[in-house]
Amino acid sequence: MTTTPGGAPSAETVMDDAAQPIRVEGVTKVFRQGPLEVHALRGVDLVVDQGAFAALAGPSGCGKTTLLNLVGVLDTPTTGRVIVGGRDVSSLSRGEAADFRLAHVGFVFQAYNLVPVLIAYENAEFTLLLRNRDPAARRQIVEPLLERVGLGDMMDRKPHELSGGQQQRVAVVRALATQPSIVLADEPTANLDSAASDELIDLMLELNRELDTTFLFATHDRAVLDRTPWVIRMLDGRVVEDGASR
Amino acid sequence: MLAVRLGIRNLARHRWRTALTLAGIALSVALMVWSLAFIEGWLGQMVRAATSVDTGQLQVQTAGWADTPRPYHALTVDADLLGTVRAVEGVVEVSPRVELFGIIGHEQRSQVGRVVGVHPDLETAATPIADGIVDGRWLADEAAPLGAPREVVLGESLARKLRVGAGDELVVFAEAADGSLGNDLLVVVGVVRTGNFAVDQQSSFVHIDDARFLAALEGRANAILVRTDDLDRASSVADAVASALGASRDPEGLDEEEAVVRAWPELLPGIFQIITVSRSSFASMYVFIYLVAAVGILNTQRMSALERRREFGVLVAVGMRPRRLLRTLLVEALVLGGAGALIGCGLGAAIAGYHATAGLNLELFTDQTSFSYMGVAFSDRLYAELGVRTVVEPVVVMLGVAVLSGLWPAWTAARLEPAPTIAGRTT
Repeated sequence: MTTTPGGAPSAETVMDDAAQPIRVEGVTKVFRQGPLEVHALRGVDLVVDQGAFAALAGPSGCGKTTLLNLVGVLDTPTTGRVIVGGRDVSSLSRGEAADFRLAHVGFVFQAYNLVPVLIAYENAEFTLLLRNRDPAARRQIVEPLLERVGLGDMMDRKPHELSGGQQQRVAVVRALATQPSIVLADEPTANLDSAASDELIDLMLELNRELDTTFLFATHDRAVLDRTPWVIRMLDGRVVEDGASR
Repeated sequence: MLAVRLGIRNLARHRWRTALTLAGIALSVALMVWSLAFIEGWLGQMVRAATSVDTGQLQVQTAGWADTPRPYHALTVDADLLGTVRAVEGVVEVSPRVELFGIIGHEQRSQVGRVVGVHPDLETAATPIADGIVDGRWLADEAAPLGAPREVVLGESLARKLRVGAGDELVVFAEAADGSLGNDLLVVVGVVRTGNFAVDQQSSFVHIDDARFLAALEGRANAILVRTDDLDRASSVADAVASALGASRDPEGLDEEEAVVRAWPELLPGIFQIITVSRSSFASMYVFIYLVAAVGILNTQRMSALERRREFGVLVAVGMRPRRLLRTLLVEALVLGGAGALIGCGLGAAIAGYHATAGLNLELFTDQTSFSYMGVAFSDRLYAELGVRTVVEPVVVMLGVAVLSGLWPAWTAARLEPAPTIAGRTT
């Protein structure tokens, strides 16, 4: 059984969330730009299994980020259903969506997006602060994770005092601190050089194996795709190849 | 705590902008504290000058006297009555008065004036009039024996108009309580400068027994002047006096001979109105000052919110509820407003505190050597009055202004859609 972020049983439990944390059914997304309608997604069906390490690939504008936003409950579909962790998240209120994201989803962004006034440790513990965890519990979770990603001696640094790769590793820790069932990443290596990019993918793969956390990320970096076991190719708002068995 | 930590650090992020906004808020609050202290000092000085020599802070009268001050509207005054009033908490001293209106003449000159009969010793304890003697002396404690010249002390301006000084004789004609015209020969024993122009121009002071003789008011007085320990408590002390005497606070509907207790706002409605109007006028100025500060805070918070759109989008994306983001930004505005208000409060209180003891020399701003308003003379130094209200009110109002100013940017930020905001698209 799944529960709401507050702990109550969800009335929208529709499937076993342990097996398939991400399920997208007939999803379309239309953006309006003045009189124009932009069809970003044109009927996407997708299932991502628990513990998967999957990449959404495709050219710019193919709908990768839009699909990630829908799975991450940052946006709602025009039609269709998005089920995350067994819960239909297609029409949550803003507050419910925030609670759901805090409980179930971790995010890694292209531009790292750390809070500039907080040090690395504070950025990493931010989601735990939002969950009102006490300082000792936060420290117990965050310090080993920062050590694990090689930032044990840089916890007191502000984001501008860290390299891009280091900032992105802090972002990964922030995403994992609450032990979410899925981590979504939008072009996480786009701002990194190839060495830092390789390191980040190594790290994400290791964490995926160690924590059994589902990773779904968007990328068009061929080097990254070569190392990804599951590639989902998109074109013009549709999934054109689901390489689940690759 | 998260909100406060983020608020303080974000304010520190743009030190110059925050410092300039803080300076604006601090100067606004300092100006408010200083000006409030001066206005309260000025108004207080005016009321004290008017009440201390002319009316007292409250009076016991008859309802008839309150309506029309004619000599026959008088109370029977004895030691018991005075003792009852004096025993009320907050009453410092009482002084019964007989007040007559008539003509005061000397040789070829005469003036319409007021003859005030007082107990010299009680009046000295209740008012500072005797302290203002500029020529001669104050009245003797005992009334003049029969056949001896009766003593009078004249207001300085009245003495100047009549061209008399200590030792000169006067003739007074005044309406008596029985309708007759009383007249007497008086000898000037002193000239007094009270600082109240109306008193100095019109009033003369005689022993109360001489006034009673002149007005046929044996054992009675037109009013009992009461000095209280605190001007601001005059109305509540008047309530207590009325209760002790079984008297009313409002003359409306009473018989003419019934006692009524009136505090200075009822005795001096003109001055009370001036104070009310002055406070309202200055309130408009205060609104303007607060608006300037509000625009400063709004500008800082709006700029900050616009610069941090992506950051807000990320905070919401990782699970911060929009309402919590709103609260965080309001705390930031509150920290800004609170810090500025406290700095300004300290600055304003320090300057006003200095002026409360040293005063502000008005002669620096004008060639005049005497200052008056509403018939009340002011010294050449205006003293600020630094009370709890003058310090606390600007701080509290500024905190409210800070929250209100921060509301719009905070609400706008909390309404941002995270996905397009993070992507750098407007929503």
